[in-house]
Amino acid sequence: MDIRNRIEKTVKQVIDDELGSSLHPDKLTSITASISEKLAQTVKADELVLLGIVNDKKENKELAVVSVIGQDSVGIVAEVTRVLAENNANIEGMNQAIVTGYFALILTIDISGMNVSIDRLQELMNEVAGKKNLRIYIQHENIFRSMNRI
Amino acid sequence: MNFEVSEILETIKMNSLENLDVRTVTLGLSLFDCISDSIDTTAKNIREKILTHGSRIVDISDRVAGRYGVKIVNKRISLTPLSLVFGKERTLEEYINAAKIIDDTGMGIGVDFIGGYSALVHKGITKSESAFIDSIPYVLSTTGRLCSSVNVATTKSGINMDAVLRMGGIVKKTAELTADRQAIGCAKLVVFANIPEDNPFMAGSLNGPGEGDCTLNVGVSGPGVVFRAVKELPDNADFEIISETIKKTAFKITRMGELVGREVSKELGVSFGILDLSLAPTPAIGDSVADILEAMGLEVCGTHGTTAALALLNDAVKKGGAFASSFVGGLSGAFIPVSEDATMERRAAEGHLTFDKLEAMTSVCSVGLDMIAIPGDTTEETIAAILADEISIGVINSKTTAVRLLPVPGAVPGDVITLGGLLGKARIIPVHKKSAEIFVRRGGRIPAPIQSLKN
Repeated sequence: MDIRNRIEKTVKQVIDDELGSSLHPDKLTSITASISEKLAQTVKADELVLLGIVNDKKENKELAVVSVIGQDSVGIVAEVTRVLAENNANIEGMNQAIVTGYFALILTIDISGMNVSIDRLQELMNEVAGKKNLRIYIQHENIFRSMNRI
Repeated sequence: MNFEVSEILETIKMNSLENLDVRTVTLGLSLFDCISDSIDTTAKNIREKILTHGSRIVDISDRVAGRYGVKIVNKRISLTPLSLVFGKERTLEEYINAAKIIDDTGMGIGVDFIGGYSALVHKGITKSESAFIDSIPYVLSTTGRLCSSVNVATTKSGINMDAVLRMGGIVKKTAELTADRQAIGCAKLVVFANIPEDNPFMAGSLNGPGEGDCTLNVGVSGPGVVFRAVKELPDNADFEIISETIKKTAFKITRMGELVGREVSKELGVSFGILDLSLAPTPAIGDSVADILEAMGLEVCGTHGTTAALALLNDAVKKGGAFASSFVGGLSGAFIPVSEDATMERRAAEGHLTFDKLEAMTSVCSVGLDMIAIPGDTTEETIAAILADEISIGVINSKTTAVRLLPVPGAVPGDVITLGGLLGKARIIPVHKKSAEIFVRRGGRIPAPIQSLKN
């Protein structure tokens, strides 16, 4: 049962206990719906996470950053993402730019469901890097967190 | 995405272009539970303990390094000072055999160095410590990885000048026994004042008597990263800006080291000890402390202003590091090992960086006169006087100072020796010729300074 249904059911129960048959059933339904609606506007999603009412699905994710740097050529993104897909690494974010004439692609990937180790993925990426004359680095996100966040 | 592209690119640049690395993960082992009446049994117990706790250190370090895309250059082990562990007086042969067992164990598991062939004699030398110290030159000339350190003074106890004189002779003897290898034995021997118990850097690393059973200490480095950051500042950037820039860079370096260190200690199943944030140069181009000083606006490292620039650097490094980690320890500061720092070596060879200037610099940075090649005819009394000068800087200033000198047999000022690897190359620099023999041979102790009376 989802959070909204549970809240509505609880509110309905309280009002019913307090006021009983003096309240018209239609009125009871509209009051509980209204309270539920107002609550949804007041409490934010992450506050529900904090309260432990809903689970944060992100908890299960383990992120790594794939940085692809080098000279631009046709098919870089296709090659890199093919390797990621083959090894079940889900792409969570993608940012591509040309920095001082160089091609730079930064991918955030979820490595929790990968079917190879991060070392093996690096080896596979090194093959792509060699073929397309690039440098590809795979680093666990913790290193960026530790160096850039207090 | 949680991170800016610029943040990611900056980290990659530091790791791959600016030589940012974890210089060492050093596993400290307490050996008190290895002590036996027989030194041979003790050495075998030590071997078992190293194998039990340290056999996976290389694999685990490499794996963690791969995960974060950083280099862990050295994996090392530090031991309880072996003079304490070996107990009573032994024969030279017994010391050498025991040392070889430990050295071979290190080679077997693939660690780069083992520290702890050490003695703490800052107040006095026992009979067994005397025999142990006499064995140091022979042990260093017959082993490859084992490093030695001797603490001859503390601020609390003063300077044991008998030990200082003794070490003058030991340094000289070590050079003679490794004369065929350009006095390499001396690169593994450090004489200390106020030796830290948890320093992960060699050759002075040991696991002090006050340490736990098994602890991982981490040494990070990154002169190249600091150099680039300072170099990018305009010439008119004031000292506050320079200090802030170094602090921020030191913060990032320290956090990276702590992350990697904690991960390695977790996987090894040992506790995390301290993080030693030291700017340890390597002979690689762009990985030099002298470059940082010159980037601040000195024409050459060694000219007037060098000590002030180094003081600023050292202080800012500590402040940035202290904010980044709760357990900063060891030596933490800037190192100035001449042979290991390409620019420093060049300035010394050019005559800009003199012995006396190096000594002055050591009063404001971590450690001391480090990896300096001096003429082979330098007497043991002169070496003892050099030691006494440097040690007194540490004692009076309540800081660690240390000396690692290579009196290369047969070498004269201007000659060049090549040690290879992280040790680099060095040109022999002159020392003062006039004698201090009467002074260093007076005997006894220099009393603890007034600074020690704090209770």
